[in-house]
Amino acid sequence: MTRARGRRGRSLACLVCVTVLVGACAPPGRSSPEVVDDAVTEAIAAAATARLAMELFSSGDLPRETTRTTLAASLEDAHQAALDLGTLEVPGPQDSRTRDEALRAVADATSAIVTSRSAVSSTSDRTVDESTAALAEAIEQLDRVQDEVAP
Amino acid sequence: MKRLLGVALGVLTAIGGFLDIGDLVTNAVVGSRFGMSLVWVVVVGVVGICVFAQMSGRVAAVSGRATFEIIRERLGPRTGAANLVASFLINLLTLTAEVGGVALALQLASSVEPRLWMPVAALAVWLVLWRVKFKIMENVTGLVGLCLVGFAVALFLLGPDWGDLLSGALHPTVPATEGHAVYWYYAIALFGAAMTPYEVFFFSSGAVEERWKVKDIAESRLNVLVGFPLGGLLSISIAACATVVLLPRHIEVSALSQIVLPVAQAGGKLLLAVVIVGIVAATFGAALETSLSSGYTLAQYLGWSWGKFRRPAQAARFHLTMIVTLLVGTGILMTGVDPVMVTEYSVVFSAVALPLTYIPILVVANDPEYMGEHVNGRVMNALGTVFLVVILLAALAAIPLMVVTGAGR
Amino acid sequence: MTRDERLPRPPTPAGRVLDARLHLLSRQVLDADDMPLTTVDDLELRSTDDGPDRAPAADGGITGARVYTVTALLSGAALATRVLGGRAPASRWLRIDWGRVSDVGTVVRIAGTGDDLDATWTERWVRDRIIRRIPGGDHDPQ
Repeated sequence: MTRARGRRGRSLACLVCVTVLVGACAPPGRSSPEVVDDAVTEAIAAAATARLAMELFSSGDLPRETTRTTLAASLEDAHQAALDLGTLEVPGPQDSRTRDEALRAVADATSAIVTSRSAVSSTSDRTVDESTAALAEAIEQLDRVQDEVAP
Repeated sequence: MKRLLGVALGVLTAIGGFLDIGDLVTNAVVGSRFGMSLVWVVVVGVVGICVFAQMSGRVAAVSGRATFEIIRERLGPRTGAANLVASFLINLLTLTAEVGGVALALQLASSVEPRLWMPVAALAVWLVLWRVKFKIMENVTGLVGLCLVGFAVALFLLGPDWGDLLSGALHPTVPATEGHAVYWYYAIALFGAAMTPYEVFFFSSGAVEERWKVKDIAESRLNVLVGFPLGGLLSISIAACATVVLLPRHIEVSALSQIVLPVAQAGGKLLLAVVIVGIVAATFGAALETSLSSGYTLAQYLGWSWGKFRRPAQAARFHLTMIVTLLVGTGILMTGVDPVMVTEYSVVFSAVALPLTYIPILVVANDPEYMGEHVNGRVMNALGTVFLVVILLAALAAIPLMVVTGAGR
Repeated sequence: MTRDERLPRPPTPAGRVLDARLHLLSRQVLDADDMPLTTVDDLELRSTDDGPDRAPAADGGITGARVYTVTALLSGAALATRVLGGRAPASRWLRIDWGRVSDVGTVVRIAGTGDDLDATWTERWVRDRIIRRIPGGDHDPQ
């Protein structure tokens, strides 16, 4: 009887230890500027990828299929960034303004990526250059937002 | 002359077979976020896998027994069972990542939705497992996988500042944009990508498949000691390409398409095509190896007949295991999960599971009952012990770091 | 140690004395063609001092004082109980009669092929119901 109880006591102690350890390792809650910064970083990566892909496509270094695949992946990342920003709980008006600015910049980047996708599918070179320029602009805008947000 | 060709084939196959989707993704991610400051981990990982593979190959050649048979006999059924479950699950995760990698690479070439490629890839993997001879399978995927040398070629064509790259590698610092926890998290991920557990199951079972004897140890040692470091250099060149092209543009790698952009920039469509072929071959080869490993681990633990050298009717449960794991892996992929994300998790969990395979091999390599006079020498044991400490540290730190950093965010 | 505390002398029967855990348990079983069949998960023992067909005693009943002979190797259902404890009913065990064993070394060898053994029924079932139905199942890969 004593043996069984001892074993149960040990198992319980183990369980408590593991729970405490996992709880201690749990990530601290992330602040609003951190979330915005991460989302903007992701959007910059997406837009920059799209821009590089468009530049390589127009110089003939990247085939159409690979460009389309790259742009599709960028679009997904940009959407994810917008989603992260949209679902963020902002604690105050200042954070709300920052979030809205970031959302606008990400939306611009998203539409630039979408324009690029259709440019790649059609054959007009002018549209390719225009969309590459739009991407460059979107990246600059995102960079500005990131400088303001820097936590 | 024939012997020389055989040796060359062995080395080339080792280089081409070294990389898998875990190496591709992790090295590119690391290069695009940390520059060259984690290259030292690749070096450590390569030395580690050389030590590990060499030991397990020797154990298989001398004792004629493969890894999980020995684990069951030496550790007993209880510990062996725990080992089996963990290794099997992580193997399954890696298999899923590899099949996903094949589909993603095919999407790069065709822009066809990867979920359409996944069943095709899984079926192709199974067909090869069903019909193709072991040696042919290894040689073809290994040699075609050599196309990944395209990354090294791309790096040269990009004309980077070599001094910068070298100093970044030799004086590693955590970049200002990343935290220390994330740095060490990716160090562990990179380590797990280099020292994949399935490599050991495959290597030692392959030694039994090919009926290695003691005299084959020297040749396998050469393959490992020349092939794996050269494979490691390829890993580093993938990271370096990302450092040169992607890092300055703040492109953090999260998709396979980003990984090949530096290659297109350096060498245009031709070099890109070569590299994509290499990626398909490397991930396909790794999918074959992980499927076989799942069969090997289960069959060896439970005492079933196994091996590709037997006709499927004579190793029925072994082949059924591989069919089931391929189906499960494909099923997981068809739910729409991102294969790159699966890859990133699989390398970290590989690092966690590493002690489970490493410790038994180290123990048996020192056991005169199995090894006779071929037990570990002092140098090998010293190296083996050092790596034991490294592996244990990595395994213990992996999960807490994963939780703290939110899986590398 | 006093005389009472010394361990009893082990019996010395005719025949080979094996350590169950060291030589038999968890060992691979091969047939005459070197085909792996199964693992030895448990042993069926009989004490020669009792009548035949008596079920082995539960833990604590086997001391060093009696001579026990191995009557069969057991596998299959016995694996789960070896890992997690407990005892499965006799009907769940897959028996390989000790008379079939031809050698005990690093592996345990069975005379003849394993095709007629109960212990390999799952392999035959998978082979006949699944593998043989897929084209190429009998193809020799070498």
